[in-house]
Amino acid sequence: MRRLNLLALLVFVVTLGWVFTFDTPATRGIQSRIMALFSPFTRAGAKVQEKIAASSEPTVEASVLKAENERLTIENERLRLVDQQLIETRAQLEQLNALFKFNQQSTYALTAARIIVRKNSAWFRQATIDKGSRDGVSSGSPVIVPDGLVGRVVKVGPDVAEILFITDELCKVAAQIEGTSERGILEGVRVSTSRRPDLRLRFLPREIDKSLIGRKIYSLPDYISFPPNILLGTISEFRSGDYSTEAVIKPAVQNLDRLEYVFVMGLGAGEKPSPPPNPR
Amino acid sequence: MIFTLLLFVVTGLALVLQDFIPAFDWAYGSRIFLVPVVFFACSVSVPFPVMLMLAFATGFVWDARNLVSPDYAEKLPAGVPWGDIHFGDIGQMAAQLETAVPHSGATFGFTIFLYALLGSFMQGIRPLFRRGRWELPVLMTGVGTFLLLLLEFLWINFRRGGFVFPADIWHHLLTTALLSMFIAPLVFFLIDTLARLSGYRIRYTGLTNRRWAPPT
Repeated sequence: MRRLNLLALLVFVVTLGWVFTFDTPATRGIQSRIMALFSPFTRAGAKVQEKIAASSEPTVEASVLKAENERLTIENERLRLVDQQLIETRAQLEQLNALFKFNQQSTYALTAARIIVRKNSAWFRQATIDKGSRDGVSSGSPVIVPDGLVGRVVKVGPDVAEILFITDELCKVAAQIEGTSERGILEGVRVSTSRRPDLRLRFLPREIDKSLIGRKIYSLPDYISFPPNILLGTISEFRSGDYSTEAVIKPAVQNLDRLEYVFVMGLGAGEKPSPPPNPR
Repeated sequence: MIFTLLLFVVTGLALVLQDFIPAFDWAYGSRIFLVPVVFFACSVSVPFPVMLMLAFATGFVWDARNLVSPDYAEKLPAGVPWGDIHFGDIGQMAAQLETAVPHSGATFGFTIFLYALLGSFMQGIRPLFRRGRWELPVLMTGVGTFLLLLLEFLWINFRRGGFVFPADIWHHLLTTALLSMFIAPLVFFLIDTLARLSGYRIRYTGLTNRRWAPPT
C-alpha cells in the first residue's frame, strides 16, 4: 500500500473515531445545522414536485370550482360560529374550574404544517414538514390530525422539522384501552414492507378480556409527554405471550402515507401539565 | 481537482434528490437508493484518499439527515419519578417507559464506516472501469447497496435488542439493490462524462499489488 494511502487511512480512522465520540446534544446540533443547510433545497424541490404533480392533474372547470368555493365558504362560516360558541363554553368551564379548584387542563397551540418530503431512510419512518423552530415547533411535540395521533417531532431546523410517524418502533406512547383501566405501551414495528403497518400495544396483563377487540385506544389521561385522550387506534387482535399480552392495533390515522397537512401541538413550559403522581 | 469538486457536487445533488424518490409498493416498499449508487460510482473513479474523503462527507451528511436520535424525554418537567417503577403497576411502568429516551439503534458515524468499507471494495475494480468495462462495477453497485442496507439493519437490530428479521426484509433488500443497479449505468455514464469534460484520467492506484496493475 502506498504511503499516501496509509496516511489517508490513518487520518480517516482518527476522524471517524472522533465522530463516534459525539454525544446526543452534539449530534442533534450537527443535525440541525445540516437541516438548515439543506432546507432551501428541500423546499425548492418540494415546490418543483408540487408543480409537476399539479400539471399532471386534470383541469377542473370554473363552474365546479365556484360551486366548491361556495360550499366551503358556507362551511367556514358555520365553523366560525361553532368556534365562537366553544370559546364561550371554555370560558365558563375555566370559571367553574377556578371556583371548584379543579386541575385545569391546559390548551395547546396548534401549528398547521404541510408534509413536503417523505423521508427515504430505509429503517426510519419520517417526514419533513414546512414549519420549524421559527414557527414555534420544538422537538418532542406531538403531531396530530383530526383522526388521531400522527407521531412526534424529532428534529427541528429553523424553517423545517422532521416528524417520526407513530408506526415507527421508536415512537412509543403510553396508552389505555377505552372504558377499562388496561394500560400499555403503543409502538410501531421495527420493519415492515407495508405502507400502512399495524401497531402493537405491549405489556398488557396476560389474562386480558379478549372481548375487548374493536375497542379504541387513547393516550393516557395522566400523561407525561403526550396530551391525554388522543385517539391512537383500534384493537384488532390479541397475542398472548409468556408474561404479558400484546394487542395488534389498527392506527387511527390510516392514511399516514398520503397525509398532506398535520398539526403540531405546542409544548411550551406554560402549556405542559404536571406529571402523574408517584404511585407510592 | 476540478473532477473531485464535481464529484462532491454530484453527491450533494444526489442527497437532495434522494428525498424526492418515491417508494414502490409493487417492490416491497423499495426505492432507488441514489446516494449509494453515486458514491460507489465515484469511488471507482478516484484515488483511495479521495474515496475516503467522499465516504466521510457522504456518510456524515447521510447520518445527519436520516438518523433519529430522540431527545424528547430529556425535556420532561422536573419531578418525574425516574427509575422509580412500582413493580406490578403496569400503567406507571408504561408511563415511565414512554419517558425513557428510546434508543434509535443507529450510531452517528456508522454509515461513514460502511461507505469507507464498501468503497474500498469498489477500489479493487478500478482497472475494469478505466478500461471502459462497466458490467462488474454496475453489479458491484447492487451488491454494495445490498450490503450497506443489510449491515445497517443488522447493526440496528444489535443495538436495539430483540433480533427481528422477517422474510420480507430479504425481498426489500434485493429489490432495492436491483432498482439501484438499474440506474447505475446512467450514473457511471455521468461520472465518465464529467471525467472527460474536466480532463481527468482515471488511473489505477488501488490497494492491490502493483504488478497486477495495468500499464498506465
